[in-house]
Amino acid sequence: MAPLPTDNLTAVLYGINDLRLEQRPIPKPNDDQVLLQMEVVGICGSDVHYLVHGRIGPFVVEKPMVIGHEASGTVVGVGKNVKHLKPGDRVAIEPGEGCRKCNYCKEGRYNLCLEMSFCATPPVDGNLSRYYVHAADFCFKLPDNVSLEEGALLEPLSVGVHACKRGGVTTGSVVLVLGAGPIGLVTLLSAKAFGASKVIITDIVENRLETAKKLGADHTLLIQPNDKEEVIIKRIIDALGCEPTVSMDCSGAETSVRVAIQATRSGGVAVLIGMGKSEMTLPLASALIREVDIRGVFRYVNDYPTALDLVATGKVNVKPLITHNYKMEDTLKAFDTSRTGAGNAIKVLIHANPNRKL
Amino acid sequence: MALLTKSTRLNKLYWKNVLSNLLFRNIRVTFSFPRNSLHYGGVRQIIEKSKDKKKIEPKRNFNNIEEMVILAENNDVLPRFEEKASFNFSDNLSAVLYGIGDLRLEQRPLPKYSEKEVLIATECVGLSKADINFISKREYKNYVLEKPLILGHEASGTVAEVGCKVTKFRPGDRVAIEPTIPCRICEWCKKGRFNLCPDIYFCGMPPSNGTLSRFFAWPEDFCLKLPHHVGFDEAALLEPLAVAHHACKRGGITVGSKVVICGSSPIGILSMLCAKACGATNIIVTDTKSDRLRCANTMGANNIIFVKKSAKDDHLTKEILEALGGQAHVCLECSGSPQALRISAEITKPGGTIVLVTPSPFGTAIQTKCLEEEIDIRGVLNYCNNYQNALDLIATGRLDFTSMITHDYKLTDIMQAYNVAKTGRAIKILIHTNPKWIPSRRRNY
Repeated sequence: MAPLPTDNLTAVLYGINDLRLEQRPIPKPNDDQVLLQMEVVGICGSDVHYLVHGRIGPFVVEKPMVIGHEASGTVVGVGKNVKHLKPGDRVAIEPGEGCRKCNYCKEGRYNLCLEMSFCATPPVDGNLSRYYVHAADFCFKLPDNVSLEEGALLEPLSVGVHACKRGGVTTGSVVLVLGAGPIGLVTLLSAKAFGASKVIITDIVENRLETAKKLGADHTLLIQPNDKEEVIIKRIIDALGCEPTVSMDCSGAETSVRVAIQATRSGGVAVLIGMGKSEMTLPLASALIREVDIRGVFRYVNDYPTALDLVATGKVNVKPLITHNYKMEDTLKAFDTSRTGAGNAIKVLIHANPNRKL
Repeated sequence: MALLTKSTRLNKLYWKNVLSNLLFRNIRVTFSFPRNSLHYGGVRQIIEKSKDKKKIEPKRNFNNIEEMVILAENNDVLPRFEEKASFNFSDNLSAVLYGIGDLRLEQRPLPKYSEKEVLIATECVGLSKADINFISKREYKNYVLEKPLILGHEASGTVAEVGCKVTKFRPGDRVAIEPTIPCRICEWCKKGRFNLCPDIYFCGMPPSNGTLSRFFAWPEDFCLKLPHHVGFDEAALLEPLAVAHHACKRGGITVGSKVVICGSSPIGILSMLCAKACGATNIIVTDTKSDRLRCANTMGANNIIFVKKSAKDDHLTKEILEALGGQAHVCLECSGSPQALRISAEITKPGGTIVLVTPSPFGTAIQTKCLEEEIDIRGVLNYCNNYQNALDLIATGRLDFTSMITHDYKLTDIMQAYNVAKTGRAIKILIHTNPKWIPSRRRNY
């Protein structure tokens, strides 16, 4: 039998701008869990936010917390009750596990569970380490044609899928996506996969729109930061030839949300994904008298299998989103790149398996 | 008394639960342990500390459990418990089915319960069609009786003891149970349709033991606390009410709906009440038995139609359409009769829904009319996230079905109850498993 592994290098956030790599004991899986050798972990804007600000809203980093939640790994051990996975399987990891007992969980909306245990949301540890245990039913086996890098990208893609479901995007939909960051781009990819006939994407940065064009946006619109709302809305409608039926704000900027509500056709839906200020001044009268529904999006629920299907069948190509790859030892550099956006960074990946070539 | 492990110690919730359990037990408890005992670590501290101080008169009167816990935590006194008999834990009489017609009453050991479960002293259990079928035929739907089984799943009772991690209940709470427990990890459970879970645990259905005993254990999140004004007998019928509520939701019954309910069985009558609560304005109930129709009438059906054995399809259709003033939005098929299935497409509007609540032993032939007129045919399997809604319907007074309960029997008279059920005279029979139950009014006829 091979000697038991001992190296469990882990990225731990101690406080603001205090991210350290240290050894931690290798966890043991319980009967319903699997032990995973972590392969690829992507950096999300929320991970960077915890590093820079030490908190997001009510979630505060009070004690040292392992960072990272967009991950894929290889199964190395299974609990007694696990039947659908075996050692050697490559899996994508859905980082949030509900309590399974409350009404939200039982009604099929476990993303709203009040006792949700989500990786890298304090006080729950994340999975940027060499080894990690997770509930087996939240690990999804990757078919042979899906790489571990794409497996890690299923996490942001699931957000895009959930947003499109909340918006009711389908064939015939005309979609406006505001913001071409990673979330805007996965929302664009999902909208096209859901059958939207036209998708326009806006941003204030030119090179992001170039990537969006490559990923299949029908129209792109560069917005100057000081443009008036009416001008922006007119340009959107001119480019599309009609008002959008679904608007998806992926930036969190107040102007963006205001445009999303006003630009949407009567009877349409404005989906709010990006997180910005907690209090905003919004044109609700416009939404009210035109019956425009405003719907929030929080993570995803039962969307990982859908996202995996989209990638496995080739309907969605997430590879262009991967711009930087780092070894785990260079985690601090990776976070720097992600934070500054240097080199047109979109998605920065950290490779936690030392035996696998970058 | 359970052994205290290092991890439980003087955990406040644990002590609250354990001590409250002890209050209801028919035993006296004193804290006296051998000096070298390694167990009861937390309590040992109480003894050690009390030895240091001068002799303290142990306090015998506690105002409530919280006070007792605080005193125990602060190691001020040595708690003593008075004898208090609330439940007789040595009597767990259960109705066990061994084979066709072979229902025996025997004592069973008190069920063990895990940290998130409660032990319930059963009060009332409704006798369902499933139980009757098991006794007479050994099978129901696709469940077959292989080993001796305790029957019963429509239950309500009082919480006798709680597991150490239970937060929602205390001994003495009055509860009803939701008898199906899903696996919680499969696709259906996570999507909110846990009634479709392939590994669902259904008590009272083989091979899982049911609730026709004096005590049984159940997970806390599938128990519902009853408000003061909801009686145990209404609560025992929450199960068929939840099925009826689920059926109404599946049918999309809403304000202004016109509904036809084929079959005035308990499920049919409850569906009629639920449809009314959902806002349906015109509800017709049909059946082949006049006494069941009379019950539906007294409980508020807009119209009842007696179906003669020799009734022809088109004649029956005409009668229903006249009574309803047109076609129905929703047809709830609760009888399993082939005639009801045949005419359901005629009596439902194009774009309407036919809900199949009761499986037909004769199979189901789909009319091509349903396809041409876009009439949806939807099945019903148990219930899913309906229990609290059903309880609210009773608690807010929107539903009163106590007149549906026609017979009450003690647990020891269960064979008598079964014989009455076989004759078809009864609508709903309740078995009272509380040994202290005395019939309050003569209902049996």
